[in-house]
Amino acid sequence: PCAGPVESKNEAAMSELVPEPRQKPAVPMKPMGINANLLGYIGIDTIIEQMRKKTMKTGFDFNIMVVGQSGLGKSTLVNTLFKSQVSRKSSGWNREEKIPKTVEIKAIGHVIEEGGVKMKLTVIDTPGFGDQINNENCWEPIEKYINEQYEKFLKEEVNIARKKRIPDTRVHCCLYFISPTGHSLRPLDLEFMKHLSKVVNIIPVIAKADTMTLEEKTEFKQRVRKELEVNGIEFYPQKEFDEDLEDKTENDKIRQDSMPFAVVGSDKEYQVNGKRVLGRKTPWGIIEVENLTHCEFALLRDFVIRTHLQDLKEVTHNIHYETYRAKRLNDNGGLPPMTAETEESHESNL
Amino acid sequence: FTQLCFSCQFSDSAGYVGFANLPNQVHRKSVKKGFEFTLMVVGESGLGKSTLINSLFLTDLYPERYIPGAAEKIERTVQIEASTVEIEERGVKLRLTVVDTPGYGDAINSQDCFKTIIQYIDNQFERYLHDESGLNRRHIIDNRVHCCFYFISPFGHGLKPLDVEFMKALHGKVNIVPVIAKADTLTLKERERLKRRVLDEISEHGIRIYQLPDADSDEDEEFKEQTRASIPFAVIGSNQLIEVKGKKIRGRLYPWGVVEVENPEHNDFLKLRTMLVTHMQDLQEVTQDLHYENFRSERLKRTGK
Repeated sequence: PCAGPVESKNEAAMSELVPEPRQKPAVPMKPMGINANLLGYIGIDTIIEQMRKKTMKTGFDFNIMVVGQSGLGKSTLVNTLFKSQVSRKSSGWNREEKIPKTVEIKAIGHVIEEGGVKMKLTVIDTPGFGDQINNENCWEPIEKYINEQYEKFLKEEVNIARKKRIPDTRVHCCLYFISPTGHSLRPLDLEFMKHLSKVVNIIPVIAKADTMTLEEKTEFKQRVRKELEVNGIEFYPQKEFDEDLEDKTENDKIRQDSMPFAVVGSDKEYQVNGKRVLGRKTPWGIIEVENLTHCEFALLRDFVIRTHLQDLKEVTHNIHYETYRAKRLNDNGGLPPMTAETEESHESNL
Repeated sequence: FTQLCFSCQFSDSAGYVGFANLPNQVHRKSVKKGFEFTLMVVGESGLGKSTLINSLFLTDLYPERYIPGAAEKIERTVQIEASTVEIEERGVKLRLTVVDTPGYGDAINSQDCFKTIIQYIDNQFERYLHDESGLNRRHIIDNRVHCCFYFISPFGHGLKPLDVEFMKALHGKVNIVPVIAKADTLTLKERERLKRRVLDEISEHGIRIYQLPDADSDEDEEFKEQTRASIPFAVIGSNQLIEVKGKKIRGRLYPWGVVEVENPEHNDFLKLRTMLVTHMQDLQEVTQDLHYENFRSERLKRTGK
């Protein structure tokens, strides 16, 4: 293994060559002027603006996966989330098409821009999940796909000549669609979330929530929350990753009150009180998607996109990916750096 | 990939998704985390390096300075001294480390004096590479040198042989910003002449100093050009406050007048400071993407298999 001998040689070399730099203890800043304001401003805070500019220039990747049985409105919901046709709705399996024998993974990418910020959005659909008669282990292709993206990233990271910006295809967020039965979770739901919550951020959502009354919704949510807790399923935002008290307070509220979000999706607009709104028209009224008294879509949207988008990416990178990486390093006794020539010889190791 | 572009209003109108808010989310996390920056200063004794650093960051990084006499300096080799100061401004926290190199250029025979410096820089790269390749990467500290101010003496006719050798040896390892020290010993004309000499010699020897990136569309193109045209910056530093026209300013009091540190007509101090703080992000990026990656690929090629 490469890591071993190299390390010890270097540590010895390091101590010989340069005497350890004398580290003076950190001093808090004492402005020298009497009136600090007059002489006070350096301009350190402009670094925030520099970073903002950089984010805007380079744009960012976001990869969202949707998992759930056919017909739960996954594509419609994603289209509603991003206000564009980023996912192709299927109209069910007709006689000519066959239900895929195994779960398929379909990733479609779009570049969308808003307020000067460019996002390369990839929606990963999983048709066939839960649609068979025998659904045993149907989460395996999904877990495999997720790990393959970690592997891809890792390979690029250990390369000798590596790209400045490693393309990020890792799944940042997995929306899991729960059927609104009103009773409880299904065994498949539990199995999936148990396995996958360890490798990816799972956000459970109750689909087609307009089939439940307010009371039924509240009861169902409570029951689902209880079941998730009893089965030790840590969905996003995971308790153990709350960074500070501020995060914990904010996330506790979301975990204990709002989640799982009971959502309704729609890409059709109707006129309500003089405004154009997205909704579903029924004889007994129009269900407004973005109306918080009708469903929790707006909460989901704000949560995923407006407040926790960056955090979803960071937890994926700093926690899930690092867990995968550590496991790989331990399994192989250290990953050697790769060049094009060594690729073949190391293929078998990986 | 398909390209869908929106011209979007910033309100909660139909069509607004909300990911334009991402920079704010990133910003919030960065403010919480704070920033780290390491600046190295290199130059002969007595060129005003410490005074300049104190002036730049409005602090007193060297409170009890002991200045050794010549006899003591004979035996001394180059030292590396790192001081860290925590600066907070408008909620943004910066952990600034200034790496000083006392002894540089002091010895009668200065042949090896920059080897220690090169080794220090390499060691920080080495440490980072080691941490980056390790198992637990959650709290990697970045002690790599992001920028090096190289002080050129105003007393000569341009670069000295040591200056040239140093810069040639280090331009592939760190962002070099050449600075003409104690600029108040020169008239404006002499300053221009010296600047031109220095730039000519830099280009003659193929030395790659830090290049300012091109101005973005919304940045002041003219200001950027002016800044670029002023390199190398001719600066003055001072630890003293002098009263001028009722205001207390940093300066140097001579019988013939007062030299004001922050007066752009007297010297390039403000330009240097502005350049540094508005390019901290870029300096770090170039260190990471260019100097560190070069080091890393060299190291891995050497020990790869």
